[in-house]
Amino acid sequence: MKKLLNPIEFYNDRKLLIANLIIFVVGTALAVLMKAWFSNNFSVMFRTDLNAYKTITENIIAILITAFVFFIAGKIVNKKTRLIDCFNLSFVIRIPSYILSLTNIIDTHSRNFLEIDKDGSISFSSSLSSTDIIILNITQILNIIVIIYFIVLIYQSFKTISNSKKASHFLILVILIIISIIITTTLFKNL
Amino acid sequence: MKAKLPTQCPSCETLLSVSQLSCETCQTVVQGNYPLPVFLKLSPKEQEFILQFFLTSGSLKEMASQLGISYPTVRNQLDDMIQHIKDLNI
Repeated sequence: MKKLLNPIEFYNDRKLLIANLIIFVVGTALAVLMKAWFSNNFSVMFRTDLNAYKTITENIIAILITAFVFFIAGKIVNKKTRLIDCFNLSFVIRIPSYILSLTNIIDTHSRNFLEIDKDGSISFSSSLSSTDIIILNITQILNIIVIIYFIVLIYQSFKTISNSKKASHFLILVILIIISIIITTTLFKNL
Repeated sequence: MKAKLPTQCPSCETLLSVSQLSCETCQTVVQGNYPLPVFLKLSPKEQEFILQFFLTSGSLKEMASQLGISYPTVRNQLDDMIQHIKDLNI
């Protein structure tokens, strides 16, 4: 369990990077097939059509920007922070997104997106089957688990890569993460 | 069983000092007040770390592979120990 919550603490950096690159290739292919897209570097959404170029580009940019966020925050806190550890963390936090993309295996999320009517009421674009409702509920539960996992993983791993101890160190990271979300949201909209 | 050398006062947790040394051969006893060497002021875990560091010729990467942990974890332990030794005002 400890290794799952903080792989950076236990695994050799190079071996972890190789494993991460393999997971990245498989995960990106999975995300493309599941019609997933990334509205920013921390979220996953689903589109109605398959667009490999956008999904791959968004994923690569998300990994690069997130790694640099960890690196800049890490360098501010501790000059000994290494880029390879930041990349490893950036790769690892993408894994839940690949797993979440599997929830669109029968196109549930692609078919059922929310529509805002002229009178302002929100409704689903198509009628929901019982399977859709089960999948949507599972996705909700998975979302909560992933959010908690994200927080624990980022906190523990950032602590390891930069030897952070003070609350102010984590505040720097949170500010930089928020900035990165704003940047990637704008960037991905214009892709 | 090898007795563990106590370095902290069990009552107030202050670092202990050496007040008596004896020769096992002739039973000569030397009394005085001597501070503990730096190495003995560290915790057993820290002493073990230093020994391991020495035995791997100061290679943190080799230490990491021997201990089954990552390089940044070993480096953090070393940085924390350096800070601890600095805090001891030596």
